[in-house]
Amino acid sequence: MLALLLALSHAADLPDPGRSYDLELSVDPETRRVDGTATIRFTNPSEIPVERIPVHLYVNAYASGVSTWMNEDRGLDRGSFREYGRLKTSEDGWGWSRLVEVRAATPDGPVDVPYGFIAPDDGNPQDRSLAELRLPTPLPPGETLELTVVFETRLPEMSPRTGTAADFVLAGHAVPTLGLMELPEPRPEPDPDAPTDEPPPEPRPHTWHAHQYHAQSEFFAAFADYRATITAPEGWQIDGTGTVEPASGLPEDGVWTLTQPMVHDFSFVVVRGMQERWVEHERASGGTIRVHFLAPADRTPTLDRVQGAVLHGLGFLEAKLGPYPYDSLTVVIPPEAADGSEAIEYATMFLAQNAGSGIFEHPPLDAFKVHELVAAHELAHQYFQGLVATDEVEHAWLDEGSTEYWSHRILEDAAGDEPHMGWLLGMPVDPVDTRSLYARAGKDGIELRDPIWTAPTFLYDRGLWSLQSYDRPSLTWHTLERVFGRERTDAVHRAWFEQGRFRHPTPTELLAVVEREGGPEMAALLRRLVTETGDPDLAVTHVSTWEREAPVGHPPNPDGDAYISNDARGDFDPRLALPFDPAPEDGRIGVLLTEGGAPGRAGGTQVVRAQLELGEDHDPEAPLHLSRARIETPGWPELPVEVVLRFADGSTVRHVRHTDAIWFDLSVLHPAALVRVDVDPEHTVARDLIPDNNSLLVEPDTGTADDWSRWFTALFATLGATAGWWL
Amino acid sequence: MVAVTVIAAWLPVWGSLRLIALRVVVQVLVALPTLAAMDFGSMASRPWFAEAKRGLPWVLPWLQTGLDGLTPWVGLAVLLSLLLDQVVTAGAIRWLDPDAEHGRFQLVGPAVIGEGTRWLWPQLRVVALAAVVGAAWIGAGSAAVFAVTELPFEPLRLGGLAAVAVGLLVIGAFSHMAQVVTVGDERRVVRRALWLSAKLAWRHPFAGPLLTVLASAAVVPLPALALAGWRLAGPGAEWPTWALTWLAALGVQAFVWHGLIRVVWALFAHQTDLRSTPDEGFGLWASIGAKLRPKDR
Repeated sequence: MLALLLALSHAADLPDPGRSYDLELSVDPETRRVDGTATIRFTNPSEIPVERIPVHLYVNAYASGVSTWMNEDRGLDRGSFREYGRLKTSEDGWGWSRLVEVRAATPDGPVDVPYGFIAPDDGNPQDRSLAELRLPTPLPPGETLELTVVFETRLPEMSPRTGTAADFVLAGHAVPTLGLMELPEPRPEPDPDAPTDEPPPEPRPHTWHAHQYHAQSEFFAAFADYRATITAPEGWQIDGTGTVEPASGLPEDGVWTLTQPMVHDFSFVVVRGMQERWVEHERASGGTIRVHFLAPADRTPTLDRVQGAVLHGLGFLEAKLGPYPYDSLTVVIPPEAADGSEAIEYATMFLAQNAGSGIFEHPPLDAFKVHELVAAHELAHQYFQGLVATDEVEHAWLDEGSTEYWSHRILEDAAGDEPHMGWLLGMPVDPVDTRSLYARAGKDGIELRDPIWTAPTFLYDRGLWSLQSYDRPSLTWHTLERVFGRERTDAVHRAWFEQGRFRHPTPTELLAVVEREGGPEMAALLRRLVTETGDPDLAVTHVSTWEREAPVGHPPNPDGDAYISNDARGDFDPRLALPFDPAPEDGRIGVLLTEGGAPGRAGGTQVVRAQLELGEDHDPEAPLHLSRARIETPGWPELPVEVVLRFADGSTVRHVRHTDAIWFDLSVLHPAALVRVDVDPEHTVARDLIPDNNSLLVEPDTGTADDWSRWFTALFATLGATAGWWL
Repeated sequence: MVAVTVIAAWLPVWGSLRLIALRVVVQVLVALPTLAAMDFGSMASRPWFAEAKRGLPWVLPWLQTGLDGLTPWVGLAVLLSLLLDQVVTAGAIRWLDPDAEHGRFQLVGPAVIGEGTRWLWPQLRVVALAAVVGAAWIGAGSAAVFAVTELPFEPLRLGGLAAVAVGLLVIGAFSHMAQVVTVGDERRVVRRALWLSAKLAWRHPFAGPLLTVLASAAVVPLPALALAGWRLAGPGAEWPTWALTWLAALGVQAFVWHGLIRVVWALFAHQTDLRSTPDEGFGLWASIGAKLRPKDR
């Protein structure tokens, strides 16, 4: 009761969502049933009456092999997500959700509300993941409708995001949920000087934003207040969205309550035989978050790791973005038997990485912090998508990109100076480079034809959901951080969180926040990175250097015309008739830039000033060398391109430019030979998935290549020897 | 007495060192064509890979490029290695016959290759049977491990995997003994030789199969450990030192291989009752045929 009162008191700080769900549920793990009654109160915020209301029945995705979800799952090579094949061979492992009765309260008593199934995305008549209530009487603007929905749900055998396995029940989105209503932009303030006899403006229609449930998407619904009473068999424990009663032990009558205002989904777990921990986390801004951990009984080391990551993450995210506003958080580490249920977020609850066999508890695999990384990711989802409730179905990249970025920030902060993703063969594992590698492998020679900013998520070309929602967006944030600095990008994220929480902001709003908080250059680069189909590839494609001699023929000569023959060149000053004047001065040098053309602009050649740092072995009297490098770029002027030329005397020439040309040459006159050229030497552009072509040597160094060749030869010999030994 | 025999078997005899060297040389030579097939030239101009500042994973896409097209060569190298290993083993078994007499200037290499080629077919039949039994054991063992993984007890799961591994080693040990009996005793009927090997193993379970299993488990990982150390040393490590370490590991492995052949010989050489068994089948088919043939009235 105390926990309930705390939840309700804290609700006073939360906005009013204009809708609520009172749920009376009963759960039977043996039959996989979640049945109940939902009393839904919905206030019409629109300017026109509401005649139809969509209702999500997500579990129907697992009802048959011809649902939209299953059709799409069969078409994808998703490894462990081959649900169709698994359920097909099961003994009726399918799940479903049925509306038994829908009634609307009226002054004259409850009336039946007819409904049907709709498929606005693909027209699939066999898909029942989205129903539509047809109100017998339209609901006027500002009025509240009370619906009583009696439903039956049978959860599938453990499937992505919902299902049952052994002593573990994940009732993910198992209750009917109304769709989200999108309203037109707020009207401008009326002009006080306008004539008063003008007719009022026409009411503008709303739109319902409700998609079917797709294999390559997750969930999206409106904020609401939720209160549920759940009856479970004796010995089973429940927790989920909101504050749970009783807070410890089992209820005598087998009835649990979950209460949570202002969330946009309701899910819960029903478990038996798991260990649990309750931890009170103090917010820096005041108040306490009760964190409830549930884990398999024999996975205490995993639980310790997950707990550490979660508690550190709560403090870190509060400091960087803002406080987590709810009073409770449930963290579930699913048991090995519940394979397929892991790594998914719900409102005030998430499932961490599956406990599995515990293999990641032991060296050397424990160094990779898999459990911590997943826990940090799902915790960050409480902010991005849980609170900043962007559209996961149409723009999953908005939340997944930020979440993936912040999950690494959490672990990086926790690890201090150590690499937070461990070591591999003696070298630190860099998360950005690892993510780049995933992205590169994910593309696997595919020429991307979709930009990140493409809607809906479930229709990315060739099903590249993971690449487009996780890898490229998170690398986008890393690029922005490296180009503009962490302080600026943190300010952007903080503003995005403050402005977007408890709302459903759009990509356009994100760009506006970035422009306001990060500056127009950051916004321009972000827009470029999410609207271009390809990834920027900076490359050094050519380097050359040669010792300059006096030119042959009759070059201009301040000492008067003189014929210089090829044989006599050595008799003349090699600095005669230079193609350009480098004029080294005050740490800068003139560099000849030749740049290709771009749409609407011709290319050309000019002398630009570059930064010169003289090396220890610099000798101004040494033979002058003319060195040249060609740099290829994506032609994005928003992207800074930093080039560093390194010379044999230890000197460096550094030049940064923003260009719309897809190539440019730099020519440098310096009294030392060019040794190597690097573009983007610090890998600032994390979205450049091919950093190996960012540097080029004038003289190849075969040492490493030979070393790998020898090692692989030894490896193949060892393979043969080992096989031969056994036989 | 058996212990003394086994210990004495580890002492080198005439030609032992050359035999050990031959095995190592064959293993290395067979892999050399892959050296020519690998294309790591693009790495030479790209210092990114040598520097590997940001971690190993970035080497992987480059390796994919460098190793592209290498699969047939690797497959060929492994197959050749397997085949030549059987030739060398068969030849070694013949060379290490305690009753064999070798001229002082007899060349080990040609003799071993010659005899090994002559006895390759029976050798391969033993090996093939071991491979079949091993595959069946992996299948049965894996099924058993899968069954016990339903239980949340890690020791049982790991124990199951260990049982599969030990089982493979036992099969390998038995195969090794069978090769010595078959080739050493100049037997063409492999099934009879297998039966004799089983009897030999029964008589000397510790000095025979157990010793082979333990010695194999000890030395088989050695070259792999050397390779791991070589790679862990990072780019720019002193490759001659690591290459020599790896060769030394192969040499230790070869020494143990040679020792195990001599141990089995030492156990088998004086088993006159076993050695006097005729080189013929068990007459099982003839017996079955006789039973099925209608009786003369």
